[in-house]
Amino acid sequence: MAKARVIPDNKELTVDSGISVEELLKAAGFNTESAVVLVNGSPVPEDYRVKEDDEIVIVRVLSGG
Amino acid sequence: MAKCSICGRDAVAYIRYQRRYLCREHYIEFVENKVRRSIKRYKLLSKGSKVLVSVSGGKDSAALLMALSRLSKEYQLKLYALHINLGIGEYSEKSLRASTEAAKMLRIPLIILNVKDLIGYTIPELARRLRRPVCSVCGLVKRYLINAVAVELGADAVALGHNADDLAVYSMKSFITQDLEYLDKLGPKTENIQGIAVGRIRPLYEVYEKESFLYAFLLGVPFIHDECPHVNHESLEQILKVKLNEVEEKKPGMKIMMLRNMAKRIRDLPRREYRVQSCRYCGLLSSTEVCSFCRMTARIHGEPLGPIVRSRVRELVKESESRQLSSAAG
Ligand SMILES: [Zn+2]
Ligand SMILES: [Zn+2]
Repeated sequence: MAKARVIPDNKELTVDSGISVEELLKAAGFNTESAVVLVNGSPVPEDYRVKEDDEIVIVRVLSGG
Repeated sequence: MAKCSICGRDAVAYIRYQRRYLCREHYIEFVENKVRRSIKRYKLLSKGSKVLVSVSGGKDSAALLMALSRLSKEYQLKLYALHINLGIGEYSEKSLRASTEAAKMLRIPLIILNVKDLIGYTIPELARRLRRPVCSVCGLVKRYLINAVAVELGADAVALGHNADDLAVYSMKSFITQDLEYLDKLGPKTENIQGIAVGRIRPLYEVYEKESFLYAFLLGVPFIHDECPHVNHESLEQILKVKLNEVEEKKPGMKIMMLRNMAKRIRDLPRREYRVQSCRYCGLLSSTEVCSFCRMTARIHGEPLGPIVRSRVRELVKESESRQLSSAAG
Protein backbone atom coordinates (compact mmCIF):
# COMPACT_ATOMS: atom_id res chain seq x y z
CA MET A 1 0.00 0.00 0.00
CA ALA A 2 1.06 3.54 -0.70
CA LYS A 3 -0.46 6.95 -0.29
CA ALA A 4 -1.19 9.39 -3.09
CA ARG A 5 -1.95 13.09 -2.77
CA VAL A 6 -3.77 14.98 -5.51
CA ILE A 7 -2.65 18.56 -6.25
CA PRO A 8 -4.18 21.16 -6.24
CA ASP A 9 -7.35 19.50 -4.96
CA ASN A 10 -5.66 18.24 -1.76
CA LYS A 11 -7.35 14.85 -1.86
CA GLU A 12 -5.71 11.73 -0.41
CA LEU A 13 -5.95 8.27 -1.96
CA THR A 14 -4.69 4.88 -0.88
CA VAL A 15 -3.01 2.96 -3.66
CA ASP A 16 -2.27 -0.78 -3.93
CA SER A 17 1.34 -1.68 -4.62
CA GLY A 18 1.97 -3.20 -8.01
CA ILE A 19 -0.51 -1.16 -10.01
CA SER A 20 0.80 1.00 -12.82
CA VAL A 21 0.64 4.78 -12.87
CA GLU A 22 -1.66 4.53 -15.88
CA GLU A 23 -4.09 2.31 -13.92
CA LEU A 24 -3.81 4.64 -10.95
CA LEU A 25 -4.72 7.67 -13.08
CA LYS A 26 -7.67 5.85 -14.66
CA ALA A 27 -8.95 4.77 -11.24
CA ALA A 28 -8.66 8.33 -9.92
CA GLY A 29 -10.58 9.62 -12.94
CA PHE A 30 -7.70 11.32 -14.77
CA ASN A 31 -6.67 11.27 -18.38
CA THR A 32 -2.94 10.50 -18.83
CA GLU A 33 -2.74 13.71 -20.88
CA SER A 34 -3.99 15.92 -18.08
CA ALA A 35 -2.05 14.69 -15.07
CA VAL A 36 1.58 14.06 -14.12
CA VAL A 37 2.59 11.58 -11.43
CA LEU A 38 5.54 12.25 -9.15
CA VAL A 39 7.02 9.38 -7.15
CA ASN A 40 9.25 10.48 -4.29
CA GLY A 41 9.53 13.87 -5.95
CA SER A 42 10.38 12.76 -9.49
CA PRO A 43 8.09 12.37 -12.49
CA VAL A 44 7.67 8.80 -13.78
CA PRO A 45 6.36 7.30 -17.06
CA GLU A 46 2.87 5.77 -17.03
CA ASP A 47 4.07 2.17 -16.93
CA TYR A 48 5.86 2.69 -13.61
CA ARG A 49 4.54 0.25 -11.01
CA VAL A 50 3.83 1.54 -7.53
CA LYS A 51 6.03 0.12 -4.77
CA GLU A 52 5.32 -0.25 -1.07
CA ASP A 53 5.75 3.11 0.75
CA ASP A 54 6.18 5.16 -2.44
CA GLU A 55 5.27 8.76 -1.84
CA ILE A 56 2.97 9.61 -4.73
CA VAL A 57 1.72 12.98 -5.89
CA ILE A 58 -0.78 13.25 -8.72
CA VAL A 59 -0.57 16.72 -10.24
CA ARG A 60 -3.66 17.77 -12.11
CA VAL A 61 -2.17 19.95 -14.83
CA LEU A 62 -4.13 23.18 -14.86
CA SER A 63 -5.08 25.13 -17.87
CA GLY A 64 -4.09 28.75 -18.06
CA GLY A 65 -0.98 30.37 -16.81
CA MET B 1 12.08 1.32 -14.29
CA ALA B 2 11.81 2.34 -17.91
CA LYS B 3 14.98 3.76 -19.45
CA CYS B 4 15.57 6.73 -21.76
CA SER B 5 15.39 5.61 -25.40
CA ILE B 6 18.37 7.86 -26.19
CA CYS B 7 20.83 7.42 -23.34
CA GLY B 8 19.56 4.63 -21.10
CA ARG B 9 19.19 6.67 -17.94
CA ASP B 10 15.99 6.46 -15.83
CA ALA B 11 13.06 7.85 -17.81
CA VAL B 12 10.85 10.66 -16.47
CA ALA B 13 8.22 10.40 -19.20
CA TYR B 14 6.95 8.41 -22.14
CA ILE B 15 6.14 10.39 -25.29
CA ARG B 16 3.21 8.46 -26.65
CA TYR B 17 3.15 9.98 -30.15
CA GLN B 18 6.88 9.34 -30.61
CA ARG B 19 6.87 5.99 -28.82
CA ARG B 20 9.92 6.78 -26.78
CA TYR B 21 11.00 7.25 -23.19
CA LEU B 22 13.04 10.26 -22.15
CA CYS B 23 15.24 11.03 -19.16
CA ARG B 24 15.27 14.47 -17.52
CA GLU B 25 18.00 15.93 -19.76
CA HIS B 26 16.55 14.55 -22.96
CA TYR B 27 13.05 15.66 -21.99
CA ILE B 28 14.27 19.23 -21.53
CA GLU B 29 16.06 19.04 -24.87
CA PHE B 30 12.91 17.58 -26.49
CA VAL B 31 10.76 20.55 -25.38
CA GLU B 32 13.40 23.12 -26.31
CA ASN B 33 13.78 21.55 -29.75
CA LYS B 34 10.04 21.92 -30.22
CA VAL B 35 10.26 25.62 -29.35
CA ARG B 36 13.29 26.05 -31.58
CA ARG B 37 11.50 24.30 -34.46
CA SER B 38 8.41 26.47 -34.05
CA ILE B 39 10.53 29.62 -34.03
CA LYS B 40 12.05 28.49 -37.31
CA ARG B 41 8.98 26.97 -38.97
CA TYR B 42 6.71 29.91 -38.18
CA LYS B 43 9.42 32.60 -38.29
CA LEU B 44 8.55 33.81 -34.81
CA LEU B 45 11.79 35.61 -34.03
CA SER B 46 14.80 36.94 -35.77
CA LYS B 47 18.27 37.38 -34.32
CA GLY B 48 18.52 40.30 -31.92
CA SER B 49 14.75 40.60 -31.30
CA LYS B 50 13.49 42.55 -28.32
CA VAL B 51 10.76 40.40 -26.78
CA LEU B 52 8.23 41.20 -24.09
CA VAL B 53 7.20 38.00 -22.30
CA SER B 54 3.83 38.06 -20.61
CA VAL B 55 4.03 36.13 -17.31
CA SER B 56 1.06 35.17 -15.17
CA GLY B 57 2.81 33.08 -12.53
CA GLY B 58 1.43 29.79 -13.87
CA LYS B 59 3.26 26.84 -15.45
CA ASP B 60 3.03 27.98 -19.07
CA SER B 61 4.55 31.39 -18.58
CA ALA B 62 7.22 29.82 -16.37
CA ALA B 63 8.04 27.36 -19.16
CA LEU B 64 7.96 30.15 -21.75
CA LEU B 65 10.25 32.44 -19.77
CA MET B 66 12.68 29.59 -19.11
CA ALA B 67 12.73 28.36 -22.72
CA LEU B 68 13.28 31.85 -24.15
CA SER B 69 15.90 32.59 -21.55
CA ARG B 70 17.77 29.39 -22.45
CA LEU B 71 17.50 30.18 -26.16
CA SER B 72 18.36 33.86 -25.73
CA LYS B 73 22.10 33.41 -26.37
CA GLU B 74 21.47 31.50 -29.57
CA TYR B 75 19.03 34.12 -30.85
CA GLN B 76 20.63 37.12 -29.11
CA LEU B 77 17.27 38.01 -27.62
CA LYS B 78 16.64 40.99 -25.42
CA LEU B 79 14.02 39.77 -22.99
CA TYR B 80 11.65 41.73 -20.76
CA ALA B 81 8.93 40.19 -18.62
CA LEU B 82 5.58 41.75 -17.80
CA HIS B 83 3.30 40.74 -14.95
CA ILE B 84 -0.15 42.23 -14.52
CA ASN B 85 -1.59 42.18 -11.02
CA LEU B 86 -5.30 41.61 -11.55
CA GLY B 87 -6.34 42.04 -7.93
CA ILE B 88 -7.96 38.61 -7.61
CA GLY B 89 -7.28 38.15 -3.88
CA GLU B 90 -4.72 35.64 -2.68
CA TYR B 91 -4.47 34.11 -6.16
CA SER B 92 -3.03 37.36 -7.55
CA GLU B 93 -0.65 37.78 -4.61
CA LYS B 94 0.76 34.30 -5.13
CA SER B 95 0.96 34.88 -8.90
CA LEU B 96 2.93 38.07 -8.39
CA ARG B 97 5.34 36.33 -6.01
CA ALA B 98 5.96 33.44 -8.41
CA SER B 99 6.46 35.78 -11.38
CA THR B 100 8.91 37.92 -9.41
CA GLU B 101 10.90 34.87 -8.31
CA ALA B 102 11.01 33.41 -11.82
CA ALA B 103 12.22 36.68 -13.37
CA LYS B 104 14.83 37.06 -10.63
CA MET B 105 16.08 33.50 -11.10
CA LEU B 106 16.51 34.06 -14.84
CA ARG B 107 17.76 37.66 -14.45
CA ILE B 108 15.11 39.05 -16.74
CA PRO B 109 13.88 42.60 -16.00
CA LEU B 110 10.27 42.47 -14.81
CA ILE B 111 7.72 45.22 -15.34
CA ILE B 112 4.77 45.00 -12.96
CA LEU B 113 1.43 46.68 -13.62
CA ASN B 114 -1.35 46.83 -11.06
CA VAL B 115 -4.86 47.05 -12.51
CA LYS B 116 -6.28 48.69 -9.39
CA ASP B 117 -3.60 51.43 -9.43
CA LEU B 118 -4.13 52.07 -13.13
CA ILE B 119 -7.92 51.90 -13.41
CA GLY B 120 -9.07 52.38 -9.83
CA TYR B 121 -10.68 48.95 -9.58
CA THR B 122 -9.55 45.35 -9.48
CA ILE B 123 -10.70 43.00 -12.27
CA PRO B 124 -13.57 41.48 -10.21
CA GLU B 125 -14.69 44.98 -9.15
CA LEU B 126 -14.61 46.16 -12.76
CA ALA B 127 -16.62 43.14 -13.91
CA ARG B 128 -19.24 43.79 -11.23
CA ARG B 129 -19.58 47.45 -12.15
CA LEU B 130 -19.81 46.66 -15.85
CA ARG B 131 -22.08 43.63 -15.29
CA ARG B 132 -19.85 41.60 -17.56
CA PRO B 133 -18.22 38.19 -17.06
CA VAL B 134 -14.91 38.44 -15.15
CA CYS B 135 -12.98 36.50 -17.81
CA SER B 136 -14.05 38.79 -20.65
CA VAL B 137 -13.12 41.96 -18.73
CA CYS B 138 -9.86 40.35 -17.69
CA GLY B 139 -9.00 39.41 -21.28
CA LEU B 140 -9.76 42.89 -22.57
CA VAL B 141 -7.69 44.66 -19.90
CA LYS B 142 -4.75 42.28 -20.24
CA ARG B 143 -4.65 42.52 -24.04
CA TYR B 144 -4.70 46.32 -23.84
CA LEU B 145 -2.02 46.62 -21.15
CA ILE B 146 0.31 44.07 -22.74
CA ASN B 147 0.13 45.90 -26.06
CA ALA B 148 0.59 49.30 -24.38
CA VAL B 149 3.78 48.11 -22.65
CA ALA B 150 5.10 46.45 -25.82
CA VAL B 151 4.56 49.64 -27.85
CA GLU B 152 6.32 51.84 -25.25
CA LEU B 153 9.17 49.37 -25.02
CA GLY B 154 9.56 49.29 -28.79
CA ALA B 155 9.40 45.50 -28.61
CA ASP B 156 9.60 43.41 -31.79
CA ALA B 157 7.18 40.84 -30.37
CA VAL B 158 5.06 39.90 -27.37
CA ALA B 159 5.51 36.26 -26.35
CA LEU B 160 2.40 34.57 -24.97
CA GLY B 161 2.29 31.29 -23.04
CA HIS B 162 -0.56 29.57 -24.89
CA ASN B 163 0.22 25.88 -25.27
CA ALA B 164 -0.96 23.38 -27.91
CA ASP B 165 -3.93 22.27 -25.80
CA ASP B 166 -5.16 25.85 -25.31
CA LEU B 167 -5.01 26.59 -29.02
CA ALA B 168 -6.60 23.29 -30.07
CA VAL B 169 -9.47 24.07 -27.69
CA TYR B 170 -9.93 27.65 -28.94
CA SER B 171 -9.96 26.36 -32.49
CA MET B 172 -12.60 23.70 -31.67
CA LYS B 173 -14.64 26.34 -29.92
CA SER B 174 -14.55 28.66 -32.91
CA PHE B 175 -15.73 25.73 -35.04
CA ILE B 176 -18.60 24.88 -32.71
CA THR B 177 -19.75 28.48 -32.43
CA GLN B 178 -18.98 28.94 -36.16
CA ASP B 179 -17.02 32.02 -35.27
CA LEU B 180 -14.61 31.09 -38.05
CA GLU B 181 -13.12 34.53 -38.55
CA TYR B 182 -11.59 34.09 -35.14
CA LEU B 183 -9.40 31.27 -36.47
CA ASP B 184 -6.71 33.53 -37.89
CA LYS B 185 -6.04 34.92 -34.41
CA LEU B 186 -5.09 31.43 -33.18
CA GLY B 187 -1.97 30.87 -35.22
CA PRO B 188 1.62 30.90 -33.99
CA LYS B 189 1.88 34.65 -34.58
CA THR B 190 0.12 37.87 -35.47
CA GLU B 191 1.72 40.71 -37.39
CA ASN B 192 3.11 44.02 -36.17
CA ILE B 193 1.26 47.20 -37.04
CA GLN B 194 3.77 49.99 -36.81
CA GLY B 195 3.26 52.21 -33.77
CA ILE B 196 -0.15 50.90 -32.71
CA ALA B 197 0.17 47.16 -32.14
CA VAL B 198 3.06 44.78 -31.50
CA GLY B 199 2.72 41.31 -33.01
CA ARG B 200 2.16 38.36 -30.69
CA ILE B 201 4.07 35.09 -30.91
CA ARG B 202 3.32 31.72 -29.33
CA PRO B 203 6.58 29.81 -28.90
CA LEU B 204 4.75 26.97 -27.05
CA TYR B 205 2.46 26.47 -30.07
CA GLU B 206 3.39 22.77 -30.41
CA VAL B 207 4.13 22.11 -26.73
CA TYR B 208 1.43 20.09 -24.98
CA GLU B 209 0.01 21.34 -21.71
CA LYS B 210 1.53 18.41 -19.85
CA GLU B 211 4.91 18.97 -21.51
CA SER B 212 4.87 22.63 -20.52
CA PHE B 213 4.24 21.64 -16.90
CA LEU B 214 6.96 18.97 -16.84
CA TYR B 215 9.50 21.24 -18.51
CA ALA B 216 8.97 24.04 -15.98
CA PHE B 217 8.94 21.51 -13.14
CA LEU B 218 12.14 19.73 -14.21
CA LEU B 219 14.00 23.03 -14.51
CA GLY B 220 12.73 24.29 -11.17
CA VAL B 221 11.24 27.59 -12.37
CA PRO B 222 8.91 28.91 -9.67
CA PHE B 223 5.21 28.77 -10.59
CA ILE B 224 1.93 28.36 -8.76
CA HIS B 225 -0.32 25.32 -8.82
CA ASP B 226 -3.38 27.35 -7.88
CA GLU B 227 -6.24 27.75 -10.26
CA CYS B 228 -7.85 31.12 -10.88
CA PRO B 229 -10.99 31.15 -8.68
CA HIS B 230 -12.99 32.42 -11.66
CA VAL B 231 -12.35 29.35 -13.83
CA ASN B 232 -15.66 27.79 -14.76
CA HIS B 233 -15.31 24.02 -15.09
CA GLU B 234 -18.58 23.80 -16.97
CA SER B 235 -17.46 26.21 -19.67
CA LEU B 236 -17.28 25.00 -23.28
CA GLU B 237 -13.47 25.39 -23.21
CA GLN B 238 -13.06 23.17 -20.17
CA ILE B 239 -15.38 20.50 -21.57
CA LEU B 240 -13.56 20.54 -24.91
CA LYS B 241 -10.20 20.24 -23.20
CA VAL B 242 -11.27 17.01 -21.52
CA LYS B 243 -12.76 15.64 -24.75
CA LEU B 244 -9.71 16.51 -26.86
CA ASN B 245 -7.47 14.69 -24.42
CA GLU B 246 -9.70 11.62 -24.62
CA VAL B 247 -9.16 11.67 -28.38
CA GLU B 248 -5.42 12.28 -27.97
CA GLU B 249 -5.16 9.24 -25.69
CA LYS B 250 -6.59 7.05 -28.45
CA LYS B 251 -4.94 8.93 -31.33
CA PRO B 252 -1.55 10.05 -30.03
CA GLY B 253 -0.23 13.08 -31.92
CA MET B 254 -3.68 14.31 -32.92
CA LYS B 255 -3.25 17.70 -31.25
CA ILE B 256 0.04 18.44 -33.01
CA MET B 257 -1.37 17.36 -36.36
CA MET B 258 -4.36 19.62 -35.84
CA LEU B 259 -2.22 22.64 -34.96
CA ARG B 260 0.26 22.20 -37.80
CA ASN B 261 -2.60 21.95 -40.26
CA MET B 262 -4.27 24.95 -38.65
CA ALA B 263 -1.10 27.04 -39.03
CA LYS B 264 -1.01 26.14 -42.74
CA ARG B 265 -4.69 26.95 -43.21
CA ILE B 266 -4.27 30.30 -41.51
CA ARG B 267 -1.24 31.11 -43.63
CA ASP B 268 -3.17 30.30 -46.82
CA LEU B 269 -6.38 32.12 -45.86
CA PRO B 270 -7.09 35.13 -48.02
CA ARG B 271 -5.91 38.18 -46.10
CA ARG B 272 -8.97 39.79 -44.68
CA GLU B 273 -9.26 43.51 -45.10
CA TYR B 274 -8.91 44.65 -41.53
CA ARG B 275 -10.07 48.09 -40.86
CA VAL B 276 -7.03 49.01 -38.87
CA GLN B 277 -7.25 52.30 -37.14
CA SER B 278 -5.87 53.89 -34.04
CA CYS B 279 -8.10 54.92 -31.16
CA ARG B 280 -8.86 58.64 -31.24
CA TYR B 281 -8.17 58.88 -27.49
CA CYS B 282 -5.16 56.67 -26.81
CA GLY B 283 -3.79 56.07 -30.31
CA LEU B 284 -3.51 52.29 -29.96
CA LEU B 285 -5.02 49.59 -32.19
CA SER B 286 -8.77 49.67 -32.54
CA SER B 287 -11.35 48.22 -34.89
CA THR B 288 -13.62 51.21 -34.35
CA GLU B 289 -13.03 54.90 -33.72
CA VAL B 290 -12.64 54.37 -29.96
CA CYS B 291 -10.84 51.28 -28.64
CA SER B 292 -12.63 48.86 -26.33
CA PHE B 293 -10.44 49.81 -23.37
CA CYS B 294 -11.22 53.52 -23.72
CA ARG B 295 -14.91 52.72 -24.18
CA MET B 296 -14.98 50.49 -21.11
CA THR B 297 -13.16 52.94 -18.86
CA ALA B 298 -15.31 55.83 -20.10
CA ARG B 299 -18.38 53.90 -18.97
CA ILE B 300 -16.98 53.75 -15.47
CA HIS B 301 -15.12 57.01 -15.03
CA GLY B 302 -16.96 59.23 -17.48
CA GLU B 303 -13.77 59.67 -19.46
CA PRO B 304 -11.54 57.24 -21.35
CA LEU B 305 -8.47 56.23 -19.33
CA GLY B 306 -6.35 55.09 -22.28
CA PRO B 307 -4.22 58.27 -22.46
CA ILE B 308 -3.52 58.35 -18.69
CA VAL B 309 -2.76 54.64 -18.57
CA ARG B 310 -0.38 55.00 -21.50
CA SER B 311 1.60 57.79 -19.88
CA ARG B 312 1.83 55.81 -16.63
CA VAL B 313 3.00 52.78 -18.60
CA ARG B 314 5.59 54.97 -20.34
CA GLU B 315 7.03 56.02 -16.95
CA LEU B 316 7.17 52.43 -15.73
CA VAL B 317 8.93 51.27 -18.87
CA LYS B 318 11.46 54.11 -18.59
CA GLU B 319 12.12 53.26 -14.94
CA SER B 320 12.68 49.65 -15.85
CA GLU B 321 15.06 50.55 -18.68
CA SER B 322 17.09 52.94 -16.55
CA ARG B 323 17.31 50.30 -13.80
CA GLN B 324 18.66 47.99 -16.51
CA LEU B 325 21.26 50.53 -17.55
CA SER B 326 22.44 51.23 -14.02
CA SER B 327 22.68 47.54 -13.17
CA ALA B 328 24.61 46.95 -16.38
CA ALA B 329 26.94 49.82 -15.50
CA GLY B 330 27.37 48.73 -11.88
ZN1 LIG C 1 18.38 10.42 -21.96
ZN1 LIG D 1 -8.11 53.93 -26.66
